[in-house]
Amino acid sequence: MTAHDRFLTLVALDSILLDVATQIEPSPADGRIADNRYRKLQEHLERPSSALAIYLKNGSGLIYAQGSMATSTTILSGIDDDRFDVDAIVELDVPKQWSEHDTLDKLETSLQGFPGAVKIVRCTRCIQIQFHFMHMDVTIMDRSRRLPISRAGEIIHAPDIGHGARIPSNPWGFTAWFRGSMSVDQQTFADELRKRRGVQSKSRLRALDEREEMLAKAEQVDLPPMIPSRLDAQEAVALKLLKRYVYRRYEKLTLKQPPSIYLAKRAASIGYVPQGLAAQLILLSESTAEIMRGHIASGTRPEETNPSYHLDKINDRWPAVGAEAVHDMRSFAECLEHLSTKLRRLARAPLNEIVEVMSELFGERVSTEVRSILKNRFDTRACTSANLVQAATGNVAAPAIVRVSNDVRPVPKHNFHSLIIESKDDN
Amino acid sequence: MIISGAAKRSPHAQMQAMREIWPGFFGHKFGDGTLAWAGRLQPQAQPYAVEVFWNPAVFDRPYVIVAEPEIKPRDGNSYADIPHLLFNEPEPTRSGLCLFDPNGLEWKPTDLIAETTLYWTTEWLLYYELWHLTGEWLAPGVGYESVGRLRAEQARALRGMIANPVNADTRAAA
Repeated sequence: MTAHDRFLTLVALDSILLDVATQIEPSPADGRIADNRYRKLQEHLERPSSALAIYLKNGSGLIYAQGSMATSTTILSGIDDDRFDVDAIVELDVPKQWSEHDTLDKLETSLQGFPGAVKIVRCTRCIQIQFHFMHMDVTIMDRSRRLPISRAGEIIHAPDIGHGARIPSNPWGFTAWFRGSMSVDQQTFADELRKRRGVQSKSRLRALDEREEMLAKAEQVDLPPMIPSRLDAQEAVALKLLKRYVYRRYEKLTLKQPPSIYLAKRAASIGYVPQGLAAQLILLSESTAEIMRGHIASGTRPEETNPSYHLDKINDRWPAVGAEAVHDMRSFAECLEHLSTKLRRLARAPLNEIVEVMSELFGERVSTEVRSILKNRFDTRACTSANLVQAATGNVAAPAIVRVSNDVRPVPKHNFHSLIIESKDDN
Repeated sequence: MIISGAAKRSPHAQMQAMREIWPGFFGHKFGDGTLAWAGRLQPQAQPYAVEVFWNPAVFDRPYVIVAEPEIKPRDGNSYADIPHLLFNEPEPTRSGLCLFDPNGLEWKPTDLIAETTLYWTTEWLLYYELWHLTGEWLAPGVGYESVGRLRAEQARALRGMIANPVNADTRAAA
């Protein structure tokens, strides 16, 4: 029996999970605004007063999206505030005389006055620019060692206390590996997602200026994109759902959560699950929980590397070392097992129960949106087009979702009615 | 409410159409001439076992019951508040589904149950779930203001028709 055989086809749950996905990702307008912020980052760091300008101008340095923006798996990470956390890499030859702290100092100084920034915060490995509804983590990658691996280098680690360090890294290579790992021939899935996105996606980012206002409204932008194109693959959508769930779950815990890149590697390693999105998410959760349980049993810890550059240890800061590692891994396994148990139960649950559990898993605001989406999709009170039914199962689909085919027929026109069967003799 | 003399589909035609369009349904003819079918419908994720009864000598339309899981009202409501039922007060969970407007002639005995009633039943189940979710019946319907009542004599006959559930025992006896 293969892992795939364990699953039923979960059509109805898949449909609702797709609706959830459209509510936790950046809308097309958000994507265009975010893209412009990356462009603004380049302009800002290349301005004459920037300490980094000399190292970036004339193509001698590179700025690009990394992390979830590059893998097209960005989600709303704020629970109480709708917020996208995105990452940028500033790739340059860091002068030999700069310490790690000097390097982050220069980046921090150069980012001052960034248009629209509400706050600029220094972190251990990056400088975070905070906007309304978006945080951008800007990381410097030193490529001066000219490694023989495309775009590999060292990112700067400069803690408040103690010595700095250089961390081998290749985010560009990881992105290429992740995108290349997605199975092809998912046109139906992608069409389904795009159809829903077109109707129900919600924009969060506020335009900083007229240019962003214009970009948000534009269907197409003439400039070459800073962010790679959307990746509407089932594996990527399952990853987005898992990330959203894990963020919410860990918000209530005092534990450090596993890094997104670790989840991304797991998601890409699993491959496409033909039984659908829910099955993809269940397999991702259960197989990862099994890995955690295996490490606990054998007294080891996961030590994943970037497939494009094996010196890049992608979970170097999670789990903790020693006894705490067991606690970290057990908590993560329990978190994943909770998700898969809930999803398996929902495979045969009524809509109100599904939406209620979506609230627990992905947030109340998301489930409120899903309730509204379902209402709009199936409200036929003022509609002339009929729902469609698959006779073998009785599955009902809204006309906007499926097309008439051999096994799917429109419901004959009718009006529901009411009647009371008397319990006593009438007069 | 009793059909007499009007053209209608033969029991054989109804049985045949059900076998062709809904092969998962089990059909049975009781001694009193009542045709009955039992099967499963899954409008979304939740599967439902339903029973369909048809005897034009007793009632002028097919009578559909949700056998499992039993229908239930929203929290704080009563069974009588479930929209679009043939509300069976003594035994609310054996209430029928009111699937069409008889005054609008949306169903006639010349129609095949397989081509009408079953489609409407699975749609009723979807809107029942949506009613639980939203508190609104989101499909076209003739509203509560036009609730009709069956005469007591007819009600007794109808209860007799649905007294025997179409279940595993029926299947074994067939």
